[in-house]
Amino acid sequence: MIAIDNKTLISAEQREAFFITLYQTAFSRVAHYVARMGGSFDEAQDVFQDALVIYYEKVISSGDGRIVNEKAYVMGIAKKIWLQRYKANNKNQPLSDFDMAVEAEEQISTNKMLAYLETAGKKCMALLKACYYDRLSVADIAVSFGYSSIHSASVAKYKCLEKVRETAKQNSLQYADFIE
Amino acid sequence: MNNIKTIEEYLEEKISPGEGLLFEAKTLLNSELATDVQHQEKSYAIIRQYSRQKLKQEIIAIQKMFVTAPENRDYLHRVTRLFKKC
Repeated sequence: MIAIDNKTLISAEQREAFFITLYQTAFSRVAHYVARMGGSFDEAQDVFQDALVIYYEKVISSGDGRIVNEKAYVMGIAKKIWLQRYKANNKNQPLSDFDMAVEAEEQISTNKMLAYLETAGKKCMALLKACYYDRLSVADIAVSFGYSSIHSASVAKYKCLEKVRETAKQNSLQYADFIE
Repeated sequence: MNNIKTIEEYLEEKISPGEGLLFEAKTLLNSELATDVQHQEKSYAIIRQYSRQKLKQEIIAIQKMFVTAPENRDYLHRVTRLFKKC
């Protein structure tokens, strides 16, 4: 059993150690499975990467981050991804579709928005990722992003969220601007 | 920014059921508020998608480092052999 949570995965170095351990312990099992199913090494790597993303989300959202059998859990996710993606003969489906029903048209629109938002405010998007995805506390965010107080970090968070919301709003009003 | 925190508390169910009902009643009377709720939900989906992309880029970089490290050569050799056709 392991004990990890968003507190122990704050920095890039901590996440690197976390993922390298998983490569060492779980990748060969996933590769065995993909090979047995007729897949390639590249496909095994791709499935494993996506499984790690889902596993990371599970660890972060599970509170105390305790997973009884880490290898079996990652293997289970990888199998599900493989079956969803390749068995249905629907290769290269993006990870965003793993558990989010996104219409194709909406996907294009979202990708355009993402590109715009990243250009317009990398720091904002990084802050929002830290808050809503990595689930760091506002106190941790204040330290990581160099804010003088928790209040300043909280204000920055909501300003950034407002920026994304405004972009989503504009996107719905001027949908054509985001279409390639 | 005046309603963004309130909407967040409503969407994350951080308010009481009574306050939630009151908020929902307000959205019925205020179409702008209802639209803001809709766009804020979309914003969280955008942030999630952005974050997944970033995390996957991070994992790909780590994987490249892992597969090129000399100490992992034997391990990788064993794994790639699984894909060799007979």
